Amino acid sequence: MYYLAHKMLTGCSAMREHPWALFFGIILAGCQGIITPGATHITQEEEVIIHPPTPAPGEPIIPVTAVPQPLRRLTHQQWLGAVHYTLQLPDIPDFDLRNFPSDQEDNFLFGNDPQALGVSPALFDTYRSRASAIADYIVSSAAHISSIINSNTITEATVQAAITTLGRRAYRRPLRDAEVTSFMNLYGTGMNNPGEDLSPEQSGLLLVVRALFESPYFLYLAIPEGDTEGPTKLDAHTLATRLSYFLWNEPPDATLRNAADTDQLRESAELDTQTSRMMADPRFQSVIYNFHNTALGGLGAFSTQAPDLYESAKNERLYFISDAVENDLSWKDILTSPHTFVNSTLAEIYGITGDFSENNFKKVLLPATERKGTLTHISFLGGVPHRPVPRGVWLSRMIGCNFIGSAVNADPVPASEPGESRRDIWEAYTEVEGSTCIACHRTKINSFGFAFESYDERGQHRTNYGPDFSDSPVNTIVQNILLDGQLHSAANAMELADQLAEAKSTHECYAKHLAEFALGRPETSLDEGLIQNLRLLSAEGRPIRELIRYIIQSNSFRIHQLDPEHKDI
Amino acid sequence: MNHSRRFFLRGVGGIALGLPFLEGLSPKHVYAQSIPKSPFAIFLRQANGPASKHFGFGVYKQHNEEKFWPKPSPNIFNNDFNLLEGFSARLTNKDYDSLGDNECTVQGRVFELLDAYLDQLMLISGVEYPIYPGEAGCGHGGNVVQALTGSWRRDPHSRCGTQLPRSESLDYLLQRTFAKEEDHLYLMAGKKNYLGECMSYGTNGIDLTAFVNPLVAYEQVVSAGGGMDGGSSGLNEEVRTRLLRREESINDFLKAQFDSLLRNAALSQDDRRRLLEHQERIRSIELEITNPSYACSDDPQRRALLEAHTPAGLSSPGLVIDGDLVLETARHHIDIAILAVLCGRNRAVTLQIDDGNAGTTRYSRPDGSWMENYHFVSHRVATHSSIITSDDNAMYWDHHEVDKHLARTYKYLLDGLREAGIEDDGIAVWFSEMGHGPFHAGHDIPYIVSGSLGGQLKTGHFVQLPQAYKHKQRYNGDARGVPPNHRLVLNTLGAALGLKEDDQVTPLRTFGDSGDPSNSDKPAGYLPELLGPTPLGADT
Repeated sequence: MYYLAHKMLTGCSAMREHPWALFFGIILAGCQGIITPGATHITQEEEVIIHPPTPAPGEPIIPVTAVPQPLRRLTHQQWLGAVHYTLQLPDIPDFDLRNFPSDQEDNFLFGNDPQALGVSPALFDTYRSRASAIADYIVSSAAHISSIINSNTITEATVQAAITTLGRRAYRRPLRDAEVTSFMNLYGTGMNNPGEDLSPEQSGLLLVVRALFESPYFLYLAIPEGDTEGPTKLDAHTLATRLSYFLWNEPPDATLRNAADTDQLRESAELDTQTSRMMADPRFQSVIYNFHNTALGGLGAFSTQAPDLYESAKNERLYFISDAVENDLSWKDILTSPHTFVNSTLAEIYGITGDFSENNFKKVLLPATERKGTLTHISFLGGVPHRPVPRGVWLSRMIGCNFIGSAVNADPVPASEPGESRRDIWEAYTEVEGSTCIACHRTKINSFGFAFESYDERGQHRTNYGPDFSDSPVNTIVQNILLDGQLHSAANAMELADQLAEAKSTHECYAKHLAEFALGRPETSLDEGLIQNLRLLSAEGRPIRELIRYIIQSNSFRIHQLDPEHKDI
Repeated sequence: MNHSRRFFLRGVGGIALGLPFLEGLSPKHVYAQSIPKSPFAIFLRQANGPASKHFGFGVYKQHNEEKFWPKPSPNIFNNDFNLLEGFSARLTNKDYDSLGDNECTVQGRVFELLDAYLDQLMLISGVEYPIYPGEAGCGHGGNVVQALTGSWRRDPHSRCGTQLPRSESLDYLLQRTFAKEEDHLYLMAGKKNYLGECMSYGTNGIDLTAFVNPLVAYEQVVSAGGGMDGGSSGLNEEVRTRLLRREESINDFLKAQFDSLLRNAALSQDDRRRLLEHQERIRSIELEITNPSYACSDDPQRRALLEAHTPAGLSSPGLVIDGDLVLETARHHIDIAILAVLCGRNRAVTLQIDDGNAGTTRYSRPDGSWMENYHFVSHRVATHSSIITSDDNAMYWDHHEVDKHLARTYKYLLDGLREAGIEDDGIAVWFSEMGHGPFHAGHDIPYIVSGSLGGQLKTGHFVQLPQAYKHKQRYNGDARGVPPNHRLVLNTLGAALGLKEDDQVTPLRTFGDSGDPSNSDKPAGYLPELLGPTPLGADT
């Protein structure tokens, strides 16, 4: 009930400041339960589990709205996972997944923007041919048939039971009676029109399996059901699917299915219980690593490094993020943590002595005078471009979500003169007073990059630039870091990490990334309330798992609402 | 793995019997002066533009020597030369000192590798995108959508890399006009990283999926049922009837599910669009099932050749793509493209080499070593995020080596068309969406065209188009007053290939879509500089 009190204070003031909120069908439980203009779906008052801090005085409170939840086609990897999950047979082949037409790439940071996941003619053909292959795989083996129908005899009764079981897994919800009937009609058609070298029963079963895997209910995830355009609270099975693909990138397991079957999952407490359970599962580690790896810029720049360094850096990030999340650290902690994980390769670069091997990673303290936080990890420093300006651009974009355009029509970078450091050259090149370059470079790019000049392209610490730059000393002092509209200074990357960890823009950016990842699409203006609350939680140092629990509890996750202007997102 | 082209195309004549393209198998003279009845176009795309300094454009004119475009004779190009006038020079491989007036030489230039084809080539320089420059940072994303569509992006506010064009690409228009739309063949050699496949677009500019794996593409080409059971035409009537009933029942089942889904009021317009497109595929399949048509026949030996190939982009999850492998995959795709046009299945094929910027492809130098990835090389930089260039002459020479790789690949295409006897039945176009030099400019877009289409297109010439901003009277009709933009090139090629305006009489002249309601940026018509002696779009 704290939630209601909280919303009494915040939600109603939001209404005063944003009268348009009603237009969006905003859910303001504290004011009068849940307001759903034109809809009767949402009337239940929810007990809210996590309470975001109140914004600073003067900052408007933006309500967390229901948002559009687009139809999402399975990615190819998810398709294979769903096939395995549905059939639950040992030694299932991958049905030539490698030769699926590639998904359209998009510019969405986390990939797989629903709008890019269409079904091209080639993909349709692939789905159809693979559905045939799956069906052939089933009916060509008596053992497979027995496993699927849970009997040694194919009868209408055993087939119907199989349809119910397989359909529930494939559609990620129980089949409706009419759907079972449709499948049985298909079975009958197959019986009456058998294929060559197949019995009527096999032919019937073959059609059923094909249809199951060509069905849009199999190929598209979490389709929200609704008979109006107003806000619609997700049904329990859609919510379970959404939750499971967010936290595990897999279909719901039996426990989650059961919670959906009883409809308990729609209760906040049960949803939170399931969330916590799933976050304790190893499958969550992989997902949360992928999120952070992307949010930190990936490991792409290791393409020019030795392959074993790439593998070591990947594991450093994997172990570090997993450990941080498991120990309930926050984004702020990650940016300032004194720890990392190393094997012998990384230990050598870090200059850490001890008993290390290539394959075992150990949690260690970073050299305190040289490093602090994940931005000083080899995985970050070697994973993104190493020259100061590109590195600065990367930091500014990924950590601060600053928009940095590309330079155009620039003259070539001059060669270094004796005694000139790399920083000197780039500074002179990009910070010419009166030039168009200086506006972005000085405050949004160079200061970020120069502070990290004490690390080379492998992420090794250095104090001078080496012979290419006359052994000139590295200077990491920066005085024009633009954070939250104010200029800051820092002596080095460690001080900058501290400042980033305290900056509102850093947490705003992290919140945006997390919201986009959870919602599976680029942000829209309707996400402002969610992002604001995530930012407040993050800035307060709340654990990452708590932020995730908050998202899952939020209206944005649990309620579907078409864009009020009917724009496509 | 190298393979024999002759082996790959073996037997094609046999399977083409009875198909409209039969006449294409008879020996052809290179300069046949009758317009082919079933012309085709194969587009070969290079990322990042060529390494060219051109004739005085760009900040790089003070560096490097020209290695791409031919060198014109002194009467054309001297110290007083003004590119605004343009020129047309006969292609030769002569010593520079022995060039006659209005000739040029390919000696020392990339096109030296295409010496055997100079008589049928037209090298087009000086083309500009109508809307340039794009927004800062949108160079690749902004240019790729225009290249074959002549269209600006659908949503001017869309983010870099997410753009889609407003209308279809020329290859798609050709295919849907003259052959089966659903058989559109879009091939890609390389890994679908940045921007993925980005050259070919369907009706209203929808994005299309390219085949990365030549084997999969081959299976599509030789499959009558478009992925079905290999076609049903050889079955006896009873078996065929049962098969049809089974297929119809599945299609009816799926259509009913789609109908039910589409009644869901909670779907957005975009959700509906994607579902409808998906549902449309079922309808296409229904048509094919009930009307099985042709098939390029499967050949076990051809198939085995492709099965032995590990396609670029699928070879490993690694961060680096071997450029040699990309080119090998491209050669396989070229064979399939020729097969597809030869057996009448396709009237247009697009082969995209590399993704948006080839940022993970590392091509090889003559000594076998790897250069940096092609995107770095083309910009002369060491990061993807910067287009600030370094004065790296070595990378210019690497870029030139990439151009040579592409020239050899294009030659492989021309060799194949010649071997199949169809080199003048269609055109083969080597192009890039980028202009010369490290800035990936939207001007000087290169088009290398092989084939005259019965004399409609000029051949054997290097055509430097006039930079006609100040020459408002040069073009007839409503093309007047604009620079020679690529939409005019696409209209010229499209008209020569037999495409018409909506009246089905007027040769194509308004292809493309600027999205400008005033239409002021939508020039129509042709480039007279590209035309041969046969009237464009003449009926035969």
